[in-house]
Amino acid sequence: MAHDKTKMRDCGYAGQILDFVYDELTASAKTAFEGHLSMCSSCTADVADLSSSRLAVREWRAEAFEPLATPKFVVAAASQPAVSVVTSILAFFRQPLYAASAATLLIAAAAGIYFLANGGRLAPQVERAVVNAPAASEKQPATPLPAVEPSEQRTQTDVEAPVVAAKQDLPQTVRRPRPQVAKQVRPIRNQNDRSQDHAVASNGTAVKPIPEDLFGEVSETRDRSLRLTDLFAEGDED
Amino acid sequence: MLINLSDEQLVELAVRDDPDAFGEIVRRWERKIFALCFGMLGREDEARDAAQEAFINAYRSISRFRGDAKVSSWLHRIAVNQCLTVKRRQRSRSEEYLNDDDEAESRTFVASPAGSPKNIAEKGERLKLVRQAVGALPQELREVIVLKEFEEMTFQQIAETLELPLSTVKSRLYTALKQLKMKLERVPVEIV
Repeated sequence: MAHDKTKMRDCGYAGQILDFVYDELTASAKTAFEGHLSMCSSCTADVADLSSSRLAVREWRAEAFEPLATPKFVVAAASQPAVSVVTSILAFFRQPLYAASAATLLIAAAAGIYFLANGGRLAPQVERAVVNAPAASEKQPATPLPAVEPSEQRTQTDVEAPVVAAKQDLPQTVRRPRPQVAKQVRPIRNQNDRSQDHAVASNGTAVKPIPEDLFGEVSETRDRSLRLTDLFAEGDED
Repeated sequence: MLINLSDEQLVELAVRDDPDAFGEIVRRWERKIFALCFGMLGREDEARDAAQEAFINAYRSISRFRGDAKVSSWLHRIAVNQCLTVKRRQRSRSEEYLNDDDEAESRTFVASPAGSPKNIAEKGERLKLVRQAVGALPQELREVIVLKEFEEMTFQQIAETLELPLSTVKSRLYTALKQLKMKLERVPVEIV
């Protein structure tokens, strides 16, 4: 049988076989195709095969499906359309009452985080000023801190008390008062004042001054020795 | 009022949370979708479940419906995909389905009260063979022949539903009918 192949052949009318079987040709095209069928045995056999298969499927449908009642399909309220997370959030904030509540909560949360991050104090800058107060008071005891010292009757222990409390609350954010080491205050050296020329050893003892006229560059040597002793002295302090 | 609206207008209402609008869509297309599922799956119970799932899927994804396709094409595509999903599940449980195949036959085919028992038995056997032959077709051939025979769509409508070229639809339908013919040659089909 020449029509066993399942591929469409090209006889010029192959593209119209299905349209003819399913009656989708125009009247003129149908007449022309019927004229072609009388001359083309292969197309005639194709039409017979396709019609046979089609009728078999239609019979199956008519016998098996048509008697069946259509079930009632219910799309329950539970199967709501899928809504994305972003859409849900935006819909939530479109409601004014919820938006106001959410804004209040956000502000409260931000304030809380700010409060916690600054060691439980609402004014961290002021607190730092209090912490640094001992050093400042040593340097400038006559200058009070206006924010935390409203009265001049405040004693040194009054100032130190919040410092200890601040250390216990949040040591990360509070600067520890470093022990104040009394640095040796060196007088400003006058380059022209030769009476101040002297050398100091690392242990702090005085060294015999070098005569001025021993070498030609005495003043320069003396200055260099002084600088070295200064370095030693600072190293001892550390 | 909803009866007078087009499918596209009903979809617009359904997107705006009007459940009655989608209910009207279901009422319009439930028979067609049920027929499509029956042709694809061959069993009433599976067709009923697949159609139900198809409508639920359509409702869930209705907000993503693009207006560039017809609502009918969109629904049919969802139903075809749902049937393919059921078929994939069947393949993974093929042994289970082979065992209760005879039981399914007794539920699916309704014999005509007229005719002798012999004729009824022959017709039942023939319809069973057709069902098996359609079910044995490759998926891309089966969906085309079911849309044509059960939905009675035109070639152009099938092409729009499956998003295929018209020539591809015709070629697939031709191949499907030819393969069916070869499978059914063992049993003569009574032309009614």
